[in-house]
Amino acid sequence: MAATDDDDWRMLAADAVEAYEAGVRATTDVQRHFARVVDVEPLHSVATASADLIRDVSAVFASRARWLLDV
Amino acid sequence: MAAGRLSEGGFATPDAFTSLSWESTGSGPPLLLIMGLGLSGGAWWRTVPALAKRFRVITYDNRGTGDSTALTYSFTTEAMADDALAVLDSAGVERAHIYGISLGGMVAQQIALRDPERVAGLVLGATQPGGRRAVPADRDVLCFFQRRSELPSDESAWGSVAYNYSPGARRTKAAEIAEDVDRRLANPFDEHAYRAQMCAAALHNCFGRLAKLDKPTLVVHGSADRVIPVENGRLIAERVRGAKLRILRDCGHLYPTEAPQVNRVIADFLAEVPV
Repeated sequence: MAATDDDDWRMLAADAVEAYEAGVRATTDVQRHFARVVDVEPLHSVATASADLIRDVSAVFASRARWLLDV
Repeated sequence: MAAGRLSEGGFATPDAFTSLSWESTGSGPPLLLIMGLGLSGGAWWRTVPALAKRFRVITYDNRGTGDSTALTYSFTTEAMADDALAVLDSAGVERAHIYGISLGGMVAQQIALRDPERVAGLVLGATQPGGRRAVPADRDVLCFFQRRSELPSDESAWGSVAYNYSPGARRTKAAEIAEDVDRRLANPFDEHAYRAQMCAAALHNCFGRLAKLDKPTLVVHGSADRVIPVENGRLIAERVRGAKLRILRDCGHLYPTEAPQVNRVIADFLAEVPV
């Protein structure tokens, strides 16, 4: 039973990491869309670079979280 | 589909500062090839002619390799997956087969998990799933690849031979290996891009999610691979539902040189998968 409970918690945590990733992706998609529409410097560059940075930092968090959870 | 299209190329621009060079050869269902650590799309030179007989084969240079340029590099396989999808967009391809080798295989996993609608069939060559249970290379190999970017190009290229090819291939395929090294030296990589890609490989982690992958998948791995041990290929094949595993006996990491006959296996596998 204990193992099953542990698995349930880990799967819940894994789902939370996925939801976090999906949220970050949605946010960065909005930023990229903004960058495409407002093709004026430096807004375009700032929005694009910021979206890339957020994606990469969140990917590192997600990778480490999955490592800790072993999922 | 690109019926009648034989050879073309272009540049994908996922952002204002990035330009990714791609080439397309052959006609038929689209097949995107993703190269591994520090190598340009040109490193697929042995594979493209074989697969282009049946597919529209698209290769590209990752950031910092070949003719691709960028202000920043890709430090995660997620970022590299975005680049790969930008290449498909630029080539006018909505959905394709994806074949990645080594680090390219990790990028292919990310694409298939995150944007499954864009993937038909998947081939994962000499790659690893990431996470705690992935089996790392032995210490000698890790030390070499960590300091490789500090070595002069020719020393780096020749030094990697001991790790990338099996002992058998080093005895019997010296000419082919020399050709590979010559090609590599003609396309030197950016030291910073190399380090970024090392970082991406180290951070890669798809192990848990591979169980959710629902794509026809072929896993190819050399049994004598020292860079990414063959146990990783077995792990992936166990995790991905219905995946087929092809272990190439006595082959090292760069199996396309050692076992070119595998191209036929890959082509036959992908031909069965509708795009």
